[in-house]
Amino acid sequence: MIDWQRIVTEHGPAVWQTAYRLLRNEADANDCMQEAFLAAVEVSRREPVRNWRALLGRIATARAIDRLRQRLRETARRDDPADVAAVPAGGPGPETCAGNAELAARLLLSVSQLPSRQAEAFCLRFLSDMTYDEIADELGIETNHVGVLLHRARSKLRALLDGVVEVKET
Amino acid sequence: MNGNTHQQEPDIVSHAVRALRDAPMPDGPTPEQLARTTAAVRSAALASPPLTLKERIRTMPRLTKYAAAILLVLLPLAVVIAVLVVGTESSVTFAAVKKQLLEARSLSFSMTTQIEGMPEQTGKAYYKMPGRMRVEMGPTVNIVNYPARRWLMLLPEGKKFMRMDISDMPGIDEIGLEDFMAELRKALEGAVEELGERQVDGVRAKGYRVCESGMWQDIWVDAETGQPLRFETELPWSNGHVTVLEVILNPPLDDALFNMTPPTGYEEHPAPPVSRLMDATEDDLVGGLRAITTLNDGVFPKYPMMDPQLTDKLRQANLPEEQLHETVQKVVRMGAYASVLPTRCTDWNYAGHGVTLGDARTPIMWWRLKDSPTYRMLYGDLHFEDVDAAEVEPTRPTGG
Repeated sequence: MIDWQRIVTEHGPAVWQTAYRLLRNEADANDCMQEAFLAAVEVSRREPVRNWRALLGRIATARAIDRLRQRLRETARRDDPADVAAVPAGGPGPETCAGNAELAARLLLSVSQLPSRQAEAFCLRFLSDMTYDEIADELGIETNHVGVLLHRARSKLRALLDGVVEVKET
Repeated sequence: MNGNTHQQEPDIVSHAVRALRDAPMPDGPTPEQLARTTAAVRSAALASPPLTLKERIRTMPRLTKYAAAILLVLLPLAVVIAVLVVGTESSVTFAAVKKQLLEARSLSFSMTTQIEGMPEQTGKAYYKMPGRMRVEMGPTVNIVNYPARRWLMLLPEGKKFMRMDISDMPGIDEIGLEDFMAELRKALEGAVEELGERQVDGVRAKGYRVCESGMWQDIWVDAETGQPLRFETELPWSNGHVTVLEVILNPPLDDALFNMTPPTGYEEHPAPPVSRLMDATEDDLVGGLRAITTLNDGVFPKYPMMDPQLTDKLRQANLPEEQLHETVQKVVRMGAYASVLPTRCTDWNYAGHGVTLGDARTPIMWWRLKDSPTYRMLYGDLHFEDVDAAEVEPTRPTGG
């Protein structure tokens, strides 16, 4: 019998923060967290879960990226892509704050334009600090392939952030 | 490869990652939200015991199982419900449409199905509480009475009728019109995007696209009043779609429309046991595909379903009655499995057209179950392989 209360209590905050970091909206983060746990229930029916943290992190990340993409489609029609990922300023100095907030928002916008696997791998590695092995387990791929996905993701993001690649809806 | 370290390159990506990680993060989630999530998870976990793949397919939302036989009814109704859920930006709020939905005592609409290479079919559907449905589609009139657990199919051209007992369907005791709408509403809580405005039947209309399980449904409403005008949705595994028009909530419907007594002069035709459709499996999909491909001279047909050409070939084959019955059963069970499968998937596709039966190297059909890391891949020799999702290019809008 799975102790769901313990699992939600133990992993809920991290799952919520994972979602919030990508969505920057508390209501969306709440929805995303609940969806992640409900999806985890389904997964636990199919197979024993060895690493709840990784599983929930992966599901929450995937759901949050889906929502980011949805926002991108909606805001593209309004011709205001900044709406996708407005990030509040933080850190030292007002100018630096504003610059960082804008850069973070552009990163979210760019992540939402990556292929799903690349976006998931990138977020799990660089925002959730998961190891290559954990990512490989969760995505059902070889560990070596994680490196390939991350390399491709970074290359694409670099181009998008530098403005080399035209921003397109995906 | 050592995955425990990663390079901190002083490039713009690393800078952006740091900026995002350093951005203010509120305290969260609230204890109330955690409690709500715990309650939802416990409820979901208790809803049913651990299931195998086949069991999960067998225990899919009860009413989607009817899709095998009344798919053309379910999808249009789903689209109708979608507009009630989605609402509009004008006068219709979610609370208002939900109230309207829950208080609806009857519903009617007309519909048209178009599949490339097949004749267009039009029909009318009527629903009336408690749990009664009438669908006039093609050569059939279907009358279902859920409380009585009976399904009557009339074939006016041949003056025949079939009576089907649906009492042994799993979960039949819980089925009612409200359940029907509630389940569809839940299924339709997918991504919503706006399609802009266009003229529909001479009226300025606003469009919305709902996407669930990779299947799209377009909803067009009067831009001024929010009244539904036209809905369109695709049919799985084929280049076809259903258009729904003339949606009316709470129309006055005569009880005679739902009369379960066959008209005078109609002759009874033996009906297959409907419950046999409920436990269709991958084996049935394979069996049906083998049957229709054999009919099609060993080449997979354009779509994984019977079409007029294949029906003609079946007639021309002059099979003994027992063999004919067996072939039809295979095709029906294949349809039962194929029609509900997309509801469990994020991505699915059929690409068998022209592939020779026995070709072990060419995939003809593949799908990815929700939250699965792999695709189920069916090849031309009808063997399965599970393939890493990273190696498959998604074909659906929300695939992958």
